[in-house]
Amino acid sequence: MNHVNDILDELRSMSSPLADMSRAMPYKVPEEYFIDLHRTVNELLQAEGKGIWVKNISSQLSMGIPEGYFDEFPAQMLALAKAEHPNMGVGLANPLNAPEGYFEGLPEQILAAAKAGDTKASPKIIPLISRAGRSLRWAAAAILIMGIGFGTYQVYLNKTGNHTEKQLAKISSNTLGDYLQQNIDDYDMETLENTVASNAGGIKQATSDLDPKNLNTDEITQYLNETGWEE
Amino acid sequence: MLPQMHETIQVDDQVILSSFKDERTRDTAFTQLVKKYQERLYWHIRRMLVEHEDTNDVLQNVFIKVWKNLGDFREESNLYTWMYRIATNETLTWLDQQKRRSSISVADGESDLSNKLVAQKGFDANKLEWKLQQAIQALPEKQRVVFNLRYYDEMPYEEMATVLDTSVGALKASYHHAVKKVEAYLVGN
Repeated sequence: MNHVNDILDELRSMSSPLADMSRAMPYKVPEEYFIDLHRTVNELLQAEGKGIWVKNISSQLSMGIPEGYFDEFPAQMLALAKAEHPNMGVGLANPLNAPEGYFEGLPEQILAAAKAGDTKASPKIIPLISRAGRSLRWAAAAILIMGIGFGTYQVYLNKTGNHTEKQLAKISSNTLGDYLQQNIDDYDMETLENTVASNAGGIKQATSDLDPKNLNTDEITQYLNETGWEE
Repeated sequence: MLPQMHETIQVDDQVILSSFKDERTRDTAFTQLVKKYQERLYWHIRRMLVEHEDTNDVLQNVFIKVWKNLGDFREESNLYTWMYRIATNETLTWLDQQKRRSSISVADGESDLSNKLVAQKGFDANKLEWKLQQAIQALPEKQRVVFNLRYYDEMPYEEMATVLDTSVGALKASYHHAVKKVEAYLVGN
C-alpha cells in the first residue's frame, strides 16, 4: 500500500493546501548525531548495568567518553579538591565527644522512638457513626429551634386570644349586643348561626330566635376572628 | 544472519528479533535496531519537543526501554508500531513532567514550546515551513501527535490506533480537525 498517495489523496479530498506543501522539517540536527547514537545508547546501557546512572553521557559524539572514566571519577575529584584546597579539613577536628556506647544503642532507641511516634502519629480514624453523629446533632438542633418557635407562636396566639377575651370581658353584653344589631347583616347572621349550631352539637336555632344579646363571649370572639376585626 | 555493525543495509525486523533473543548476537541485533529506527523515532519526538537536547534525552530513554523490554515483545503488533508507542508515551510523559516541574498550565506549556521554536537556529517567521511548525505547535498535545503521525510519518490509521490506543474513527476525526486548525492558522497568520 502506498502510504504517501493515501496521505495526499486524503488531504486533497479535504481540499487542503497541505497536500501541496513541502513536509521537510526545518530543524537542524548536530552533525554526525545519527552515526554514533547507537554507541551512546550502548554506553548508557553499560553504565546502567554497572549501577551508574549517567544522564546524557555525550551530546557531542565526536568527543566520546574514555573507558573507565566514571570508575576513576570520584578519586579524581577528591585529588583535585585537595590540590585546590590544601587546608581543607584542617582545624575541623571535632572537639566534642559522644558518650561511651552511645552509637551502639542508638539504632534500638531510634526504632523504639519511631514506633512510639507511629502510634501517636497514626492517623485518627473517625468512625462513620461519629461522622453521622455530627449531622444528627445539627438535625436535633434544627428540630429544637422549630419546636421553640412553634411553641412561642402558640403562646403568642394564646396571649392574643386571652388579651382579646380580657378586652371583651371589659365590654358589657348590652354594648356588644347593640353593636351587633347595628352592624350585623343576613350573611353575618348565617355565619353566626352555623357557628352556634356547630358548638351546640348540630342543633340549629331559628334565625328569628337568635338574639345577639344571648350569645356568649366565645361565640362572639370566634365570629369576630373569622370575619376579621381590628382592635 | 545479521550484517556487521559497519554495514548499513536495512535488516528485517524478524531477523533482529530472533538475533536479539540469542545472547551471542544480542548487542549486534540491538545496534542494528537502533540504526534502523533512530531517525524516524528522533523526528517523531522532535516534532513534539522542538529542541534537540530534549529529544536526545527522550530518545535515549526510549532505546533503553526497548532494550529492557524487547525480550518480552510478543509480536502482537509489528516492531515499528511497538517502538512508536514507547516513544509517544515517553514524549508525553516528559512533557507532563516538564509542566509539573515548572508548575505551568497547559496553555503556558504550549507557549513554552512556541518560544523554543522561535529560538531554533535558522528560525524565520516569514517562511512557510516555520509557520507550519508554529501552527502544529498550537494544536493540543494528543491532536499534535495524531497530526504528526499521519502527515509526517504517513502512518495508517489502524497502526495509529495501536500506538495511541484509540479507535480509528476517533483518530480520523482528530486528524481532520487538526488539518482544519492548521489551515486556519496559516491563513490567519
